[in-house]
Amino acid sequence: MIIKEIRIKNFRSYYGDSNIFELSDGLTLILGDNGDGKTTFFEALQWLFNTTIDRGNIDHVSEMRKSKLEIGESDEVLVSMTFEHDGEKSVEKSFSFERTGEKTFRVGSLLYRGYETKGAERESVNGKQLIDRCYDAFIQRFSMFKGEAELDVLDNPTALKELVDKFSDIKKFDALVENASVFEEKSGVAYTKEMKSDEKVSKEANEIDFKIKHLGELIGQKKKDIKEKQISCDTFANRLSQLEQNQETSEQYQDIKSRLKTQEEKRIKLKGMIGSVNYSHSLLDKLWVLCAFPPILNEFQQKCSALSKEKRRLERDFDKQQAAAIAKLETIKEIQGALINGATELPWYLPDQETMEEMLRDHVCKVCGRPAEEGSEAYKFMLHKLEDYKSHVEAKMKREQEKKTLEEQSLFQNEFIEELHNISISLSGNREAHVSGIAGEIADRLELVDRLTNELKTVEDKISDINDEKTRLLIQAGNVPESLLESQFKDIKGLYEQKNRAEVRLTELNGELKVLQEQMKDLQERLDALNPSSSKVKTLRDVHRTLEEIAKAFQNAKNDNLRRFLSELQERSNNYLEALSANDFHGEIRLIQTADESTEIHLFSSNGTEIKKPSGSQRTVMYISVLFAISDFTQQKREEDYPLIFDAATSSFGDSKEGDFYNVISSLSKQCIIVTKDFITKGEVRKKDIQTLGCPVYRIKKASGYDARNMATIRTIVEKLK
Amino acid sequence: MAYMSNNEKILQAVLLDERLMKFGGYTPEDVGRLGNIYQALDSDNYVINAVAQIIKRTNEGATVQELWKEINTYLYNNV
Amino acid sequence: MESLYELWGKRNPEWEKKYQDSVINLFTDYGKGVNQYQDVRGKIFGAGYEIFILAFFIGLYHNQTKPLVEDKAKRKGFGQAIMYWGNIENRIGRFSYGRIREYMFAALIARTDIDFIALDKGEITPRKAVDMLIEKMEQYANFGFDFMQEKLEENPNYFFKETAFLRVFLDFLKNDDEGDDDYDDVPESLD
Repeated sequence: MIIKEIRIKNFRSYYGDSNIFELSDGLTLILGDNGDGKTTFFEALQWLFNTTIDRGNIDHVSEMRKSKLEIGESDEVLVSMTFEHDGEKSVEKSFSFERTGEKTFRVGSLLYRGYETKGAERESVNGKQLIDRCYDAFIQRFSMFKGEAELDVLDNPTALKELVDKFSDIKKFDALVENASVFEEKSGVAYTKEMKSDEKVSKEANEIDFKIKHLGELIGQKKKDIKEKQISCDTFANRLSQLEQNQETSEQYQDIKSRLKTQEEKRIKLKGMIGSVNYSHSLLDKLWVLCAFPPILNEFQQKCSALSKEKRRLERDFDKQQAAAIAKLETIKEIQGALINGATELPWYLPDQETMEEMLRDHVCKVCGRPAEEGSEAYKFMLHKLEDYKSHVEAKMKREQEKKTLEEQSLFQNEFIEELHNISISLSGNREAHVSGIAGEIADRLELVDRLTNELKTVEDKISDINDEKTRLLIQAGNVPESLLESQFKDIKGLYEQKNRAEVRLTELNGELKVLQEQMKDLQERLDALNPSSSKVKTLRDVHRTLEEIAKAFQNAKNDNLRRFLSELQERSNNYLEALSANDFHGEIRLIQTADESTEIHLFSSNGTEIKKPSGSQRTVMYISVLFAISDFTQQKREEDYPLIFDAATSSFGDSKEGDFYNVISSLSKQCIIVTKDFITKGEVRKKDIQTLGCPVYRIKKASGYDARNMATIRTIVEKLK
Repeated sequence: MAYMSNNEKILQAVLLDERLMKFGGYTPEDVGRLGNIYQALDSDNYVINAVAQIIKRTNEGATVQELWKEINTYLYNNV
Repeated sequence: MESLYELWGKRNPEWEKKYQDSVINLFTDYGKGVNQYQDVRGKIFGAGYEIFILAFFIGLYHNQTKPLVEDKAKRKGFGQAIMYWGNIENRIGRFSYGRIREYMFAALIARTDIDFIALDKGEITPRKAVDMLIEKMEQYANFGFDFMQEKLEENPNYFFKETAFLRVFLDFLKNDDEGDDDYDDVPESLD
């Protein structure tokens, strides 16, 4: 099967319908940095090929596409592949989604369609069946890899069994071996039974049979013990070698952990600082809403000032008016005073009102002493004078009253303008300066957040790099679990002792088994040597022997078959290894069978010593060699090859020069799709380096201008570089 | 050799086992002369025959019980 | 005699009911009761008047008013008089901002056409003057609500972005100073 084209529509970060990859028959490289969409690409393919899913999942829908949908509007998620497999075919998986509310969506049913070109016609077929036919789960296991850790396919004994079964020369040995063994057993039982009832030899036969049975149990038990002990030994040995090998790794690991911790603390701190100010709340709490207020404040102050002035002006005018009125009164006073009989105020030397009244009463002028009889001239004169005086005083009082009224009159009853003016003053000075400064305060804060955000990004990149380092370290260490690296090494001595004891015991047990087996052999011979009278027994004996031999032969044939398969696989693997290895490395792969029927892939150097801890890239090359060898088999048996799709989660080709490595892969006639971080430095592709490549290269990258906090702004852009 | 079915491959592999050959008293040439399973079933040599039977019948889906009866009977009568 | 500021502070401005669902309830906890122990139901602001204040400033800075609908049945007030606005005691992470009332008052004085001279002379009652101030206040806010509603119709997500409200006000600065590019640094999310 050769994949021609892959199309991804609205699947997670692959927004829209223009994400198309056209693949070469050989190598196609897809370059992407962390977070750009490498893993998503891989997962889109896994989703496409997974024939067990039958419903659409809203989590797979591009957030950006979701955010742009109106209520009632719908679109679809679609992943499709066009490929050559005995004719041109294609398969696509899709489902529709519709926005039903502000935050709710509905997902349509899953469509899984396939197309085959037969002659000139394109026929529609069931997608699931098409995939099961052309790229079934078994092959997928040897074709798609999400990271270095998954490459060790032979780690799983079932995988190996399946491989052997599908690709070795001879298949289906298991049932036959099983049957032959059953027959041997049954025939043995029949023979012994008959032997025991034969008159001549029955007694002895029974004895021997009894012993054989008993011995058989002992042997069985012994074998069990040995197996357990073997497992124990293996466990100790593994653990020890892990611990030893990993001491250095553990130290490196601790270092990485502490660096990671530092960066993560920084990240938390930065996030805290960035998020500490809520812009919307600050509009009110920090009065940021007043950023454009200064001109209005100014308007207000001017208005207050003008009003103040105006009021004062009016007050002044009014005061002037009042003053003029009062002055008039004064003049009247003067005039009034002057007009009464030419006299003004009563001169000081004249008697006052009381005295005058007294004089009138007493009928005598107390000034000159002359009597003033009622009705006389003098009396009349005095009376008149008194009346004058009274009316004068009255007029004076009236004037005083008017003057007082005038003086008390004011134009303005209220003092609101003063209030406004006071407010205006209170809002000036520091307050005014504060308001003017708000726009600057906002700008400063925004700038700070910008800087902090950039710092945060740097820290996050660092964290990502450190995590990559950690992964690479773990892979190099042979996928040792992190918990192991965390542990201390005081275990080592104790383990040594335990291991030694176990090994000693194992040897003892094996010796004991040998003895028992010798005994068994003896007994068996004695049993066979008995000369039964009945021919039936003899016949049964012969039948049993025959079946015994046949069973052995089947078993041997099976073992041979496996050995041959592994040998061929090994040879082919080494051919690829040589092609793929860096110039300075010469070594070989050996496939070694283990006690529990699985096979391990080991690397040996050219002088025959095992490389127990191959470097990251050596391991990857080793596994890829084996995988290519396996795909050779498919090509042979099924007359169809299939691609190797590999998501190189970390860039582990660091040892050999990247360009050379890829060019070699490119020269093998195998379709390979490798998604990697290689050739990218600081977020940019090293254009010069990819010039040396002979294969098509794609770049997948997050579109710029995204907001890391908002998924709806993230999309992956697919760009063909070569 | 012309196309060999899987059964035939198994037949060859098992029959060419040295120990079995010695036990059964036949030679590699004898094995070579066998064209296919059916010819093996015709063979006078009971070992060859038995092996062929086991292979053929297992592949036809016979149960262990059924096959055991057949083989046991055959060998009893022919050994 | 009470000051104009105090008289104004006792009032409770009105707004059009139609904005309750389309604007006010989206951004505030209005109508649901304030309770410090129950976390804000995801709304940006607490009391309803907070969004009123922002609407007011939008109208003020645009220098545009929009008269309220005549029908009293279509109008509503908040539960709190102006003098209590900004006194936030119960919210975690928020601070009191009572001073804002002084600035709002100042703006209203500046922009309302009251004959203060006549007022001080006693020819107009303080009550009438405050009526005019309140009317102006309501009309600025009404414009602001309309502005917000239109923005939301265009893009329902508009004000939910972290910087959306801030941006609206920063835009006024941009219009004041031509060629002032500092505020392009506001992180814009893709629309």
